[in-house]
Amino acid sequence: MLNYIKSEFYRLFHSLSTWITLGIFAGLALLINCGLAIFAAVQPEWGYGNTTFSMQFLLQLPTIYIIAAPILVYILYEGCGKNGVYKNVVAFGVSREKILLGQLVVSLAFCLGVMLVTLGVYFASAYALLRYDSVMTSADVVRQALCVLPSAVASLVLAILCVNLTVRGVIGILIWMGVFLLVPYVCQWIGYEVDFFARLASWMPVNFMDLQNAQSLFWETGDGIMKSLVSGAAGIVIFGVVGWLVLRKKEI
Amino acid sequence: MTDCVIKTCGVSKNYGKLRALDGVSVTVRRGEIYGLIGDNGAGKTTLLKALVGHIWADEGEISILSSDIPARLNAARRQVGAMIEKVGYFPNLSVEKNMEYCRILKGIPDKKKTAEVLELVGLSEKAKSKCSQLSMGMKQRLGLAIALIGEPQILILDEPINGLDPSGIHEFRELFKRLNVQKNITILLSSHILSELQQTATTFGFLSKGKLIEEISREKLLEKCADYIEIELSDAEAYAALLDKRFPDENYMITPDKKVRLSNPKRLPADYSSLAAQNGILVTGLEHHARSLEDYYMNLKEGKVNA
Repeated sequence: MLNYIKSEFYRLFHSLSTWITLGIFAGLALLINCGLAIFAAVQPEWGYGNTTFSMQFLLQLPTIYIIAAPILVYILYEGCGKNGVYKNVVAFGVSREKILLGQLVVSLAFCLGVMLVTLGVYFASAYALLRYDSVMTSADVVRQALCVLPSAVASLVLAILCVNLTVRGVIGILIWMGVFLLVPYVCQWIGYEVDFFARLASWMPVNFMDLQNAQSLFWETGDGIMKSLVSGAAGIVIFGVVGWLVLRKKEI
Repeated sequence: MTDCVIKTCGVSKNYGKLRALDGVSVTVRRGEIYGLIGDNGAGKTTLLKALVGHIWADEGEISILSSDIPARLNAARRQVGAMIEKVGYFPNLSVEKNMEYCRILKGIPDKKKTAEVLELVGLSEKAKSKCSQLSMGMKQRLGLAIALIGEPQILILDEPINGLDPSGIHEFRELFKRLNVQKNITILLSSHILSELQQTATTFGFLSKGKLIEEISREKLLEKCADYIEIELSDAEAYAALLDKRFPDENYMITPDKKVRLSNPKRLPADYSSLAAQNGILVTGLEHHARSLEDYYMNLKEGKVNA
């Protein structure tokens, strides 16, 4: 399995798409802060050209880490099945379980790398271009990101499963959207009538991370942190086991 | 059984109601070039896919290098190089980078191996080209290069000459023979181009409708397909004496029904009848028999040949 992981890292570093993706994510981070800096320079009375607003902008989007995971998995593994590369790997005696685990390791490293670079560029550009304000700092963003991480990993596991299960990666992403985005809304909706579903929905990441009607910031409360950890761990186990059961007998 | 590198025992595979393989038992011995022959849909690719682990057999056992339990079978597959159906590669990476990916996957530390294998299959000039830009023949070469990296003990190749030009076919044929003789690589290859297999394989397996109808060595097959002339004469013994005297280079036998059978005759049929006539022996019948592998296969399929 170690050789499979090494070969996947080799591919990762030698694929143009990896660097383009990294460039796009980092570029967007830079663009946001550049935009804020330009607005602040053009309209001095505009009160949002500071680091607190920039950090708040990110803090308002906790699900961004969850949504980024399938996008990055899609970039990494879309077409692998169609291009027949798994045939070489399996013919060389790497079991499907090891392929799944290897992909998890490689995509997790890729996602963390992209996240670190993007956040690094975001923080650096915010502190370099905007007026410093200490109400919200990069430490708040890091705390939030760490709290969302288990759910983001669960999202990653599901995305790997979906992309591997389908010949067309787009279909896999649609399945991911159905499970990760649609199911929580459906549960919440049924929850208005059935209490069990309401409780179940409250443990689903996109619901408890929804800050629109939140009384408090979930990453700052014990209840929120617990929900994030438990739902993330449950997601990793459930999607991991399903992936293992489904993919280990998949014919290619 | 130590020289047996691949063995299947009663392997069956169903796709819905279609029985793609029906109790197939093949034995590939070390050092052989085993040619798997069959029409489209006969089950050749299905069998090869089951061997390399792309699909699972519904029934039967598969053993590679004496390993037959799944974990050991996967370990044994590390000694196998395979090219089944479409060649697998990353289209946006260059040929060289695809090979490097496979080199790392197979845990080969020596970076020179990539260049060596590309040279071997005649793909060195395309090393920097993106795989998506390769012609079909070049993709076949890449597939063979991927199979060959790591110096496997066994090569499993499904229709390896598909898409190759005539010189490419010749190169591949010579390469297979060289790999087999010089590196002692056992090769299992499938094809429906019988003339090609006839020039390469040392053992043949005939598949039809998912069943192995015959497994035969090259020597036995040549014997069965041999070119011979059978002459019915008034005096077979006298004619045999004449053959010894006039055509001593001929290989003949007298059959139980008193016919003279000349194996791989060196002269035209008319020469043999003339010889008889000049010496007062009456020729009552002369038949020239010659069968190609294609004829043999067609007869076998139709049940006209006793296996």
